Amino acid sequence: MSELNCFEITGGATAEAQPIVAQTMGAPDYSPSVRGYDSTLTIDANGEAAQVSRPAPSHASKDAHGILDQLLLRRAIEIVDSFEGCDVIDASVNLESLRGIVTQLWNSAVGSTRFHQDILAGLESGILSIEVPTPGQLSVIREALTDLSQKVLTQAHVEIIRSEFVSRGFSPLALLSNTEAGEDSE
Amino acid sequence: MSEVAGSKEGGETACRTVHIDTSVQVERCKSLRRREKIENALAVFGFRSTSSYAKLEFKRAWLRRLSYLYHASQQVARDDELIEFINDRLGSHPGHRRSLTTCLEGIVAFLSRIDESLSPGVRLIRLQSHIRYAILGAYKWWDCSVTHEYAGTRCKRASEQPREFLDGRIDVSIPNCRRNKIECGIHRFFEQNKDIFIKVKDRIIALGDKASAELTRAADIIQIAEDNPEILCDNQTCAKLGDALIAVDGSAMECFAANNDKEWQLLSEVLGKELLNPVRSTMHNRPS
Repeated sequence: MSELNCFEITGGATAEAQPIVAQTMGAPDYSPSVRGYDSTLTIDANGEAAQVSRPAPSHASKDAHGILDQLLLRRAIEIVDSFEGCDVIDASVNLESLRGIVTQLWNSAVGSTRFHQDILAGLESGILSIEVPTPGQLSVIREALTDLSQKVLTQAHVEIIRSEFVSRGFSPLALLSNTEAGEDSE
Repeated sequence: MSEVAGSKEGGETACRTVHIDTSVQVERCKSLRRREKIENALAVFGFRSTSSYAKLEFKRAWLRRLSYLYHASQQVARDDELIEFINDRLGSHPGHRRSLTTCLEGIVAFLSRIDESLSPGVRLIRLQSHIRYAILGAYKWWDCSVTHEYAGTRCKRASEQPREFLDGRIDVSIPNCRRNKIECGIHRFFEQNKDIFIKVKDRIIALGDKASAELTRAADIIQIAEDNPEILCDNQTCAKLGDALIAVDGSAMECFAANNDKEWQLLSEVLGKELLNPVRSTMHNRPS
């Protein structure tokens, strides 16, 4: 019997999971401490043991050549912050606006990094699969938007956001299997 | 058979246990409406397990096909060329029909969300990002979806999670396993539970022509493995025993949850379990 399931930063039950190294790559406006993890933190397969390691020099910077539309991102964060205390109608309107913004963000995401695209995909998958977001879901949506406004992202950002979306009940596979026509076909 | 209430039945059921087959796990990560129904049915169980072998089936049946879709998406310039590309390569071969169906369902599901304001090139990047996100997040989802994962077979291939190379390629391969290089514990698992497997085999034989093709294949394999368990240490052979392996792996649980009733009714009867089909909202009571 394997060990009881616990939330894993790097995912998977395998002990062979590769360590993920979060890197800042010298971006001046990036403050990883705000996110609650160290900039050179190695997270092991159990998400527990941490040690300082030197990041590989080229991994994150290689693809960093564009940023997402900052105006759209700011607008999206404003909308997310407007969910608090709103009724069902307002929530629905806000969510629809958010979906529109996220769709438009793909235009600038094409010129950004794979990490930006992965987080944007997670964000879009999430907001397309809910009707009224819970406070926890809003929190991770906001976090994803904040990440997307960074110029430099790493694989660690993607892993953390992906894990948080999953832990909030979002299925990463939902958007690729969400065939409404087949709903009652069985 | 009885209808299953879609809500928690009270505190007494909080510690009930259920073992979930691949067929239900696949449905659990589908559309919200379908998922909600399943989650409600499973909500009465305080402890939910699955098997690492079920994860291998999940990887083989879905993630590997999505990986093919991802690879295909990198061969075209526009999202609207993708269906034609896949049809050309998979459509004419009957053996690829299920892969083709999975790929097309994925594309259709995605296209149903498409926003026409984006250019085909942008939509293609968007599709690729979503497929990548889905594949690489699937194991995390799987781990969070259950309380516990039994790993009686110690399946090495199930433990190998999808990964991304620095050049953007995704590895969801399932290399062949061979008897001359055993890396799992399926033969020992079979030996330890031989009596149960023989009961399964006997029940399948007793069913005669009424047994499904999958069950008949499983009975044949059990028959051979009785004398030589190491014959199971081959990916083509162990796959034929799939549902039986998953069921025996979760034999400590009170209830089984599956969406392929033909096979699981027999397995739950032999193992003395209730059978829940949360997709159809039906429950077969524990045999007396």
